[in-house]
Amino acid sequence: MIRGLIVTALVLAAGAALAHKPSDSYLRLQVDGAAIEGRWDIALRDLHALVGLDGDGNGAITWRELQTRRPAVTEAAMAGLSIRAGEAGCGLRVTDMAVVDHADGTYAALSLAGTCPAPVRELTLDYDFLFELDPTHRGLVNLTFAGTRSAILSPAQPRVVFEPDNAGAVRLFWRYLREGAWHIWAGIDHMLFLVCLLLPAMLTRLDGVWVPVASGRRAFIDIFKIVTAFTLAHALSLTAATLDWLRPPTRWVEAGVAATIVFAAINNLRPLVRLERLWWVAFGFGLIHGAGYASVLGSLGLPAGAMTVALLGFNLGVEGGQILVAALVMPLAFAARRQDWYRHGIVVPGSVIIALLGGLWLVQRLFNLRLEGLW
Amino acid sequence: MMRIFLAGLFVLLATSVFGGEPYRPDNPDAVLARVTPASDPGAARLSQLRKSLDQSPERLGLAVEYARAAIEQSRATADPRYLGYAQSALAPWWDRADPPDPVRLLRATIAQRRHEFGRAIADLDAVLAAQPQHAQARLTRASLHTVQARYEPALLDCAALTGQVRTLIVAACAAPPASLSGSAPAALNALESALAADASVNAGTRVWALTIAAEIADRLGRADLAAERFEQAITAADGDDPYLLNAYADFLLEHGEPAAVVRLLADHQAIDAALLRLAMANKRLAESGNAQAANRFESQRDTLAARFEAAQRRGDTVHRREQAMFELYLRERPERALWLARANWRDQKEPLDARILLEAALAAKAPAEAGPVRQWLEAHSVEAPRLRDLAGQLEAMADPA
Repeated sequence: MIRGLIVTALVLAAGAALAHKPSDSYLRLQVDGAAIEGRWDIALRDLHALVGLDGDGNGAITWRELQTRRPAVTEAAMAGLSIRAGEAGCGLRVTDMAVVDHADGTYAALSLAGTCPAPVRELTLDYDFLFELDPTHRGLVNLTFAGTRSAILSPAQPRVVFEPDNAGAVRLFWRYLREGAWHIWAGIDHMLFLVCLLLPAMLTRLDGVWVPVASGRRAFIDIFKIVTAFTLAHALSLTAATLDWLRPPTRWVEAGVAATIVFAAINNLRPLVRLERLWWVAFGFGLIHGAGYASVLGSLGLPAGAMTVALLGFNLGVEGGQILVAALVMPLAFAARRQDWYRHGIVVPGSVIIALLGGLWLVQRLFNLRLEGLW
Repeated sequence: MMRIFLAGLFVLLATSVFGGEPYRPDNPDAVLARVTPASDPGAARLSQLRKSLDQSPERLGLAVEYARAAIEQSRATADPRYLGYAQSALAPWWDRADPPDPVRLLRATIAQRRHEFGRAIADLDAVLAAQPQHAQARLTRASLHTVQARYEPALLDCAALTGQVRTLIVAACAAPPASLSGSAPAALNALESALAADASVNAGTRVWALTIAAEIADRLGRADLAAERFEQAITAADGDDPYLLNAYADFLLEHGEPAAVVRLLADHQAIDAALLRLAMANKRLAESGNAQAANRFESQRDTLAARFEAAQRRGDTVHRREQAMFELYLRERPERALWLARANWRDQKEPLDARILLEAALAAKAPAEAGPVRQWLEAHSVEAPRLRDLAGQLEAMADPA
């Protein structure tokens, strides 16, 4: 009987959409010199779950009950939020409490004030409110600090650093450009894929053995085609995924990236695709890698009004990073193309190692395994 | 079209306000929010379990018990916060690749409620690989397969339940997938006889089975039978059942009884899906000259708009079905509705989702956009005269000759 009941509860849930929004709080801050002011709206339902507001337990929270619990509310709120300017704390405190109606119910509106030791140049916000009880809670932050910025804070991303947004679009563009370029270097899997594609660039296959290319120009054109195809493709899928036209599941994208690494490495050892056709493969793989970049871009938090600028900057940054990798690898490869050690000491063992590493990632990501110490 | 939609979305996001103006109520006893009273058995049990759990958060049995109670509470209240609470209780095992089976099952259930269907299936596969006799996992997986239009595996899961659970549960498990793959009358008959034969089943299971019977009957054009089953379900339900209320409201709207919808849902405005149907009903009443209904409609529409906007701010995409209905029926913006309905159809493929996409494509005069639904109708020989009629209208629109 009991079992039947549980079974029913779980099954009925299948088709029914959740009919409410999960928990959010709305934090609005203004920075003016060293002074910080703001308002933090927290749902009464959440405060009730956290500190208990319904004194008489009758299911109705009154203004009187809320005021009685103000010390507990303030304490819980201040334990969950800290703001620093550079390294110094800004001594945030709750100066007032009122209520405010949002679409999904009534919230407590806490007035906040703080003073940083010096005029703010960079603001760090650490948010750890309610996460322990409800990991799906989100803190939606809106900051006015020489321009308006927003962020969504979660257990996975409890901190946000704001810099003043003086130069608007140009600054934003540079910031995303930097992030894009940096990502190429920080995301070792994307980098390895590129290196793997480029490793044998100055060699060509003749009757199944590697021989040096006759003309550097020809090799550069091939590389140019490959890199361009890859770049165009990842720009496409990155844009599509960021704008939510595509929603590929992260796990499969990550596994797909690993698979491309394995393929590229094996292709160096035993060609599966002819060099002239490799740009087709690079295009297909670019689509997968682009979807992978999208998760990085998403976690940076996109400025709502300047999506195009941010996307363009990020794309160009990624591309710039790739060109830099190519610019480092290519001359070395060209210089060494006639050397035996280049072929047997670098291309072959390098590809074997990359194939193994890629294979490991593939298994790890496909089956959701965690191998400590291996990224 | 998409560009315009996205541009609109960003403007909306950029300009959205953080709530209204704060105030101090004049009356200290003004009620600001309704929560579950302390005397409610579900809430009392939950807070009791939470206290024990806070003492020993690593105790698996306790964590599982709490999570299960929280999930049940989230179903009864349609409030996803309880899913977050359930997740927090399972935190020590939540991110593990190989958690104990009870955690897996609950993790799957939570994922399913958040429309992370792939994750849910993976966990259920693992549970069933270890314990093929696990009835609950089978049932949940069957319903997941059904929601995503994989009717054969769903039927296999239901068939595997035979002899393990009472016949009514097997029949109610199998009826939805069978009714969507060319055997609707037979599925309905089987469910009807199981309902008639099993008088002793608990209220929850009975309501569930009655709701399924009503939905299939209505899809087959047997409105009288559907109405009877819905009424029985409403009577049998102890406490409110959000799924049943919404399904019944859809039925009443379809059959031109908006006033009944207003009576049914007036007390459930906190639930977005219910408020949506309420607003649809009020709009109908307003169109036939009811001025009060017109006022209610406008305020409900604005509340819904604000709620969808708030959900979007946090990056939620779980509400696309409701949002598509909102854009289509309340805002009469077919292009937006169509975009949402298509995105929703990638996630879930229930008859209601099909209908929304078909009607959005009709309203937007974009017959090709409903192609996936027409394929679904053909591929599974779906018996649904009203859906087929809509598909026919789209075909005529695409090819006037």
